[in-house]
Amino acid sequence: MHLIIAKYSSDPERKRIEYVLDKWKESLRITKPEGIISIVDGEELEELLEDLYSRTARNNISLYRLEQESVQIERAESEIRLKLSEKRDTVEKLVGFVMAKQKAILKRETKDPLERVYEVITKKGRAEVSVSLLSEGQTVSLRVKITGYGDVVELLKGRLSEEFSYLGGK
Amino acid sequence: MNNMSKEDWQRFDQVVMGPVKTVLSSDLEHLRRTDEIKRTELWNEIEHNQGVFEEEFANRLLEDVRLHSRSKFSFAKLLLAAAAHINNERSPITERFSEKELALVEKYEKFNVFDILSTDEIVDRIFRRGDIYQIVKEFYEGQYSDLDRLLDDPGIERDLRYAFKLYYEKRLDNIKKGVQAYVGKYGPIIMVNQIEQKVWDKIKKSEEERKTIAETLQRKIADVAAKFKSLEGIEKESELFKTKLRDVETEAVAGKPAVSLRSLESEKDRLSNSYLGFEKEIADILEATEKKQRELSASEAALEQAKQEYKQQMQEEKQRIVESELRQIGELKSRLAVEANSLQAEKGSLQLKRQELEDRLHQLTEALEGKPIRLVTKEEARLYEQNFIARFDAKMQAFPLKINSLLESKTYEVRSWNEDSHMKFLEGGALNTPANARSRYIVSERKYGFFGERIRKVIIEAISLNHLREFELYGFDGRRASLSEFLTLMSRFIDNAEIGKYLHVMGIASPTGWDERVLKEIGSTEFAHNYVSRYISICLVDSTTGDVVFNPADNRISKFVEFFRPQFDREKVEKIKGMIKARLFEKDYVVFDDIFKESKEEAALVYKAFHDIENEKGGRLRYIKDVGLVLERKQV
Repeated sequence: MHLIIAKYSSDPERKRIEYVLDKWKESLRITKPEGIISIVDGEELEELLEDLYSRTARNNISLYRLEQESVQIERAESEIRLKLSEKRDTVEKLVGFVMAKQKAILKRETKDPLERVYEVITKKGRAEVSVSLLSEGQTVSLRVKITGYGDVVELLKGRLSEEFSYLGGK
Repeated sequence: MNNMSKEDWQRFDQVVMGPVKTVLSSDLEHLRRTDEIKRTELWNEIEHNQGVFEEEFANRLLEDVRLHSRSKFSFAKLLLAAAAHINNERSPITERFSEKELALVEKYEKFNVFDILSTDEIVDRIFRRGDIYQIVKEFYEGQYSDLDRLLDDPGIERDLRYAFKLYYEKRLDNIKKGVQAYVGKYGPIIMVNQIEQKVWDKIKKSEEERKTIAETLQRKIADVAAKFKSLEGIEKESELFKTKLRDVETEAVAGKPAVSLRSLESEKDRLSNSYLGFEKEIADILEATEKKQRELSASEAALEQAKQEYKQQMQEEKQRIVESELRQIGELKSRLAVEANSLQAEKGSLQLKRQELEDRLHQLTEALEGKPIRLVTKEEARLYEQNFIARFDAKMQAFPLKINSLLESKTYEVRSWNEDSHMKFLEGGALNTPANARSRYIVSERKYGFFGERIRKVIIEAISLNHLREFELYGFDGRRASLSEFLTLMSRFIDNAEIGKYLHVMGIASPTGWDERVLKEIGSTEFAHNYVSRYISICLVDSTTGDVVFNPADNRISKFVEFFRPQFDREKVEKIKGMIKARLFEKDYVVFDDIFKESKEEAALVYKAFHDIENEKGGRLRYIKDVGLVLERKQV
């Protein structure tokens, strides 16, 4: 049995979390505990329980033992590599356009070698897309790395591959 | 530090700041409608350029330019995020800002209409209670007027704070200026900080009530004004009718009445009814006005109570708001009162006109039914007038005069009259004809004892009242002064005296005497209440008989009556009467001129003797052309 605590900062975010929990409700037997839930870190509980029992019916109180758990979930990663025989400036602009079309938001960038890191939110979730550019003579080689949790990575890979193929990438 | 070349500046201004400018030159609504991809591109460009800015330009710029530019970047991004936020787009850019920052920019962008409105336009649109009014109300109720306080929130990024001030301060100033101008012109708008909805509702209700009342009455008055156009026709008909009555009177005096009283009666009724119709219209509005006045008084009382509560609770803002509304109610009430007064005056004048028709026909009917008409020639009337005024003047010059003003329970001692304190007025001016002369003495006091403007305290005035027109047309008059004439005369003086708050004492003399209705009226207790204010005191003089009548309840006039009372030498009058009676015994008639020449007495005394005999039913006076006044022995 596990306890999951998910914080949220807005109503839409709460809804998205609830949607996920709802989706897994059946298969993972997820329930929402009723009542006041508190995590007690101290070990000696007797006095606290006595106090609680004196204020409310004993069967209203449930007690569990809890320990922090970190489940290591690997971020999925996928890559697209291609070469474009265009001017570097042109390629930069094209990349910008393609990413904007995916509503990817520029998070940070570095020069030499040029790397732009975008954040994208899709229906399948959130992912990070890093685009690196390297000039090689008359061509520009492009490396697009997608990282995220779950299906979003493959979804984005498909979309971006398609977009870049229109640019004549190989 | 500042080692930027011209090219650098150009690149900075046009390229680096380019997308920022694009965003900032637009408004939130426009951004919201811009395609999401286009906005994403703009965001990414701004993000990219911000990197360029920090790397290449930031440390080469002066501190304030740097701050200014950073705040522009932040603000442009906030606008883009707000657009996504409003559109409910699932974009990471909305996560870059706090809910507070987003809400604030969305709110202030809503006020952007003020950027393009002039102060006058804002005032006007607040006044018309339109969209702007709602926004301004929201602006104050949501406490958006205090930007500094709002930006004190640590949840707002520093660059954004700077930007907010930069972009919204001017807008706020515009709003505040507009509101201030509005307040200067119309009184406080009702939304100051922390105003409770409850108070607001109360005021709003009262405002609406006021508006409806003002509009309704305006409309009613306009309606009536339109109807009153037909009054002119009635007035003309009345004039014609009066002329007709006069003709009949003349015929009656000449002893050959030949007219159907019934037709006159019905014509009078018709005209009377027309006047009554108008009076009714006015009475209706008056009633409506009074009702509204009462309604206003009720709201006033409720607000007054609220005001007292706020006063006790030291809630000054609320108290002030309520006071402002109370002031507006007060203004409307006094406007209604002015309206009501003028309506009342109009109604009064219609009543008088109607009354006059009644009076005239009443006297004529009596005359035709055989009641003696006292006939007064114009020479006689002129004589009475001169005597009356001269006697009054003589008494007023008998210094020292003690003039008592019961209004102030004070006695003024007068030792002389200067030019300004004595006035004479004349109307008409034909030879040997009365001129409705008036002689007026004014007792005044300097405001500060020995200096300052003169304040009127008492006015004593002798007034001669004649039917000038009749004297001019026929040379004689037999119609007694009527109630309507008396009241018309009164209404001319009452207002002035009330405004000036001085006592106006009047002695009014009529050579034809006074209609019983006037005499009855002035003697009645209601008279003092109905017609005469506490600033007016009157006595009526019959120039021919010497009778003086006044209201017994008016204890002020008794002190002045002697100034107006005609005096006749009783013995001489009796002697003349003896002469007339002797002549009448010989002949069937006595001619005035004969007795006047024979007795060698003053004309006034001779007239008095003639009228006395008529009053004692010893004969009947007639006016015969080219012969003049003649007393005929009564036919038995």
